[in-house]
Formats: sequence, structure tokens, C-alpha cells
Amino acid sequence: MDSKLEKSIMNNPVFILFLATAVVVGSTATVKGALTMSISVLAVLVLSALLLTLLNKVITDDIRFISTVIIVAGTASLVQMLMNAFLPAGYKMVSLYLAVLAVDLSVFANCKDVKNDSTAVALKKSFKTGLYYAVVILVLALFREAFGMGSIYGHALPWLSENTIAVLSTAPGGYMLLAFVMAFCNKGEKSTEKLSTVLTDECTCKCACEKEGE
Amino acid sequence: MSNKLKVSAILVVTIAILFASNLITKPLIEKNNASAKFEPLLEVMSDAKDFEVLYDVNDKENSQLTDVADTVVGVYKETSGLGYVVLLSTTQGYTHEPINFTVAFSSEGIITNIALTNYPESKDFGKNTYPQTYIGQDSTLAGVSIVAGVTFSSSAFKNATLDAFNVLTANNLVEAGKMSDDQALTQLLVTVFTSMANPQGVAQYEESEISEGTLFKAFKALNDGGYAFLAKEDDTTTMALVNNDGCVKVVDIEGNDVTEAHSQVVADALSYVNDKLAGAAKKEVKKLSKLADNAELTEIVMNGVYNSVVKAYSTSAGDYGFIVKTYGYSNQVMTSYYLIDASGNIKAMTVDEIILQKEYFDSYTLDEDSYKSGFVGQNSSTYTSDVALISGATMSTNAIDMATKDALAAFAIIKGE
Repeated sequence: MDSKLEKSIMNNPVFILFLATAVVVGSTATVKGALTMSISVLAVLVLSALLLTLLNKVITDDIRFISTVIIVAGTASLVQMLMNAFLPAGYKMVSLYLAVLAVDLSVFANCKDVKNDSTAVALKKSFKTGLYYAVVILVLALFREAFGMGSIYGHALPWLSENTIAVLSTAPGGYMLLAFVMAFCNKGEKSTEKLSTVLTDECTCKCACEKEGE
Repeated sequence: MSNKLKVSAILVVTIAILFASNLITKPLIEKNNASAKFEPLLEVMSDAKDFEVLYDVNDKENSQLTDVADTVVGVYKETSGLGYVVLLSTTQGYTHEPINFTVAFSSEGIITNIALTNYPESKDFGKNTYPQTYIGQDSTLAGVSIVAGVTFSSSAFKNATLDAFNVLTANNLVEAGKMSDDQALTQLLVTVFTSMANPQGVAQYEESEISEGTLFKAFKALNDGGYAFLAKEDDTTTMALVNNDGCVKVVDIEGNDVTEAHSQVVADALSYVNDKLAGAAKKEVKKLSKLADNAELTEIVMNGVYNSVVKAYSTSAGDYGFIVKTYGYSNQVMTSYYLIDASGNIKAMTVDEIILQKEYFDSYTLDEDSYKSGFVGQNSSTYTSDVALISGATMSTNAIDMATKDALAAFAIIKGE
């Protein structure tokens, strides 16, 4: 794998910081759910980044945090409504987790990441982040649905449908699988070093959680 | 512009966008929610355009339908004329937990699809196969059978399906199916030969296709009480009943005795059962003899006896002994023994195990001698079910009640009363 792409996927906030894992575990029981969540996250990331960069001149550092909260909550609600109207089957599977996107730290981290970029660069960055997030949860969902339920996108798989590992389709099984994947992604590196790198280089969660200007 | 004003402006614009979005998406979301309500119906009628609610158990007052059984949860009409879908839930299975299923009917009254949505029973009646046997059936349900060993649950399933048919036919939504002679005779079997059913009237036989002269279908009683056969001569279908003594009776679809007119059917039936009939086991004869104070027993041919009595004897003391096999708790066969004097009064009775599966009733103790003595002196005029029935052991004592009635009936037939 291309080292840049590998880095982008492996350094996903889900794997490095354990951000939004409830959403990830909840939406990766099936591929359909993961796909719906991927589209939703991508839409929220791109829309909120677009609005924030367009309003960059209006939003000063003093009001950046509160403005980000309002915009992210607004875009998450908007996406929730659109998914409910146009993709009801998928929405039904992940509706609870779509609502959680309004306070999702990985979204805030992305907003913080693109605050000084131009609109075009911010959109590109957000799109890539959303895409990598989609790759990660789709792979997890493929594995969980295939081995946990013996199907892919609801279609039964021969042999596997008769020999499922039922725990994989439950939340504890999802967390166990996520833990294995994270262990694989972090192999060979001391987690504290990697965490420190992410926190300083990418300034994701920590920065988003802090009030601006402090 | 002050910061307060900026934040307020962002908030107002965001709310305005969400308000506009809500106006656009609200009708679509409402439509989606309405169609989601019909999703279980689409599972059995995927080509349906829309449904009209004819009956909803939560809104009974607004329904015009009559004769709706408790098992019917909802009745829906497909608006383009494909037929009807009925949601059913029955608690008459073995565990009394709800068995839920959905049935689609064509407008001609034929089952086109069926989906089992909840089956909590421990004994599987064939979750993936049994409901499928209902597809293509009309309101007679003649082509479906009860699953041996899972009679409670499969009977509950069948009865609920009949309830669905009943609500559709009673309200003139579909036409009732017409039973063929074979179907009518099969339905008649449990009443003309009670060895073929438990006290609740649920069939207890093994069914098989045969080809023996005029005979084309055989029914073997699960209590070894005999056989029944469907026979066809020219265009006439009849049913031959063969008791455990090899006595044969032929009945027509009205239940009339037409034995004399169908000698070939009798011959074919006897040819088929040759050496297949189960005699009484030695230990059963010994037990009856002991009940008769070790009197000598002589077999009596049970001519005309077509119930759960499997053997009849006369004793050297001038009494009559009967071995009776009925279906008790969980449809297990219970063997009862009766000694009846020449006047028709019960002198003594006993049962192999009065309350089957005693451990199930571990908190229950029965004074068996006192219970049995309640039968002594009873005859066909005085005996009532109250003598046998014990609250809390209904299934077992229903079987004893049936056995007592059948023994007294067999005595009357043998004595020509």
C-alpha cells in the first residue's frame, strides 16, 4: 500500500484516539448500516467544513467554538432529515448514531483541522477524511456481517450462514474486533508516542474540546 | 458587528435552513413511516401497491368485520386487487408463548405466501418447512397435517390459519373452499374412530400414501388402536376403519355405515393390516388379570368398537375387562384398565401412571387409591367427567375421562345394549 494512503487510513481518529467508537461499533453490524453512516459522515464533514471556511472572515477566534458547535449540529440535523426522507431503510438502521454526529469529536476535530485552509483545500481534506473513515467502517462491517451473520448486504453466504460467529454481530464482538484492528494498526509503536504525535501534529480531539483562544 | 450579533445571525440562519429542510422532507418522512407500517405485509405480498386496513386489533371499534377470532391481529386488503394479508398471533402452542405469523391470500381465497415471524416453542415443528405446506391451500386446509410429536404447536398454527380463513369467508371477502370427499372423510376420522385423536380432538395418527387394491391412503393410530384407510371404488370414496381386533367398518362421507356395500374395501383393508395389528402386551394382560383378582381372561372380539379401547376380555368371574389407550400430557399414550361387572358397573380401575411426568407436578400429591375408588360403582348412566378430572392435571385426567367413557361405551356395544 502507498505509504501516504496507509498513513492516512492507519492514522484515522478512530484507530488512534478511539474517537467515535460507539458510532463505529453501532453502525458496522451490517454493510448497509456502515454505508449509510459513511455517506452521512462524509456529508456532515464536507458541509460543515464548507460553511466554516465560507464564514471564516465572520467567525473570529472569540466565537469559533460556539459557531462550530452550531454549524456541526445544524449540518448533522440536516443530514439526518435528508437521510430519513431519501434513504429510510438505511436511516432506520443507524438513526440513533446519526443524531450522535452532532456531538461527534471526530467531526469537530476535522473542523478544527481545516480552520485556516481555503475553501477548496478544506473540502478536499474533509472529503479525504470522510472517505478514509468510510473505508475503515466498511471493512469492519464486511467482516462483522460476513462472519457474524453469514451474509453480505443482506444476502446469505453459503457455508458462512450456517456457521456464524454470533458474537461479532453484537456490540461486545464489535469492540473486540475493533481492538484487534487497532492493535494491528498500532503494532511496533508505543501507543503513548503515537498518541503524542497525533495530538501535537494533527491536534484533533484535544483542540476541539478546548475552548478557543485559551 | 459584535460577536453576540454574529453568533445570533449564525443561529438564526441555521434554524431557517433546518426549518426549510423540514418543510421539504416532512411529507416524504411521513410517507416512509406509513409504508414502514406495512413492511410485514410486503414480506408476504411483495408486489402489493398499497394496503387498506380492514381490521386492527388496536382499533377494533373502527372495523366493520365480524367473526374475528382472538388470534387475528390485523386484516389488510391490497388495493390493486391482489388479495388480503392477515396478521396472526396464537398462544395455544405448547408453551403458550405467542406464535406470530403473516399469511397472504389471493382474492380467490388461496394462500399465496406465509411467513413465520415468531416461534418461541422448544419443539420445532419445522420452522422453515411446515408453514410452506400451507401455500396453495384453500379454506379447507385439507392438504396440511399436524406434526407428530409437536401437535400442540402445529395444531395452534393450523387453527389460527383457519381463523384467518373464517374472517375472510364470513365477511364475504373470499369464497370458502369446497372439500373433496377425501378431505371430508379425513376430517371425519377423528370423530368416527376416537383412537385417532387426543381428548382435545387433535389428530394422533401417522398418514401414508399406499396402493393396496381400492385403498390409497392409510392412517395408523399412534396408540396402536388400529388403522383407517381411504378407498376409492368407481367414483365413490369411502373410509375403512379397522380396530385392534381386525374388525372392519366402512363409512361414507356422512359417517353412515356402508360396510355391506363395500366388501372389496373390507377385504383390501384386512389384507393390508394382516399381521400389522398390535396385540396387548403380556404385562398389560397381567395387570388387567391382577385387577380382576387373577381371574382367567378370555379375549372378546370387539365388533363395532372403534374408540380408544384396544382389547376387551371376559373374566372367569363373569366380568368384563378392558385395556384402553388414550393420549395424556404432551400426547403421551396412557394405558388404563377397567373391570366392569355384567350389569355395567365399574368394579375396579387402574392406570399405568395416573399423572404422567410426575416430576412436572412435583408439588402435587395424589391419593391414588382414593382417586381410583371414585370410579367404582359408576356406570354409563351415572358417570360424569367430574369423577376423573383433577384441576392442575387436566391433560392426564382428561385422558382418563376419555378412557372411562370409551370403556363403558365398549361394554355397551359388546353387550348389545
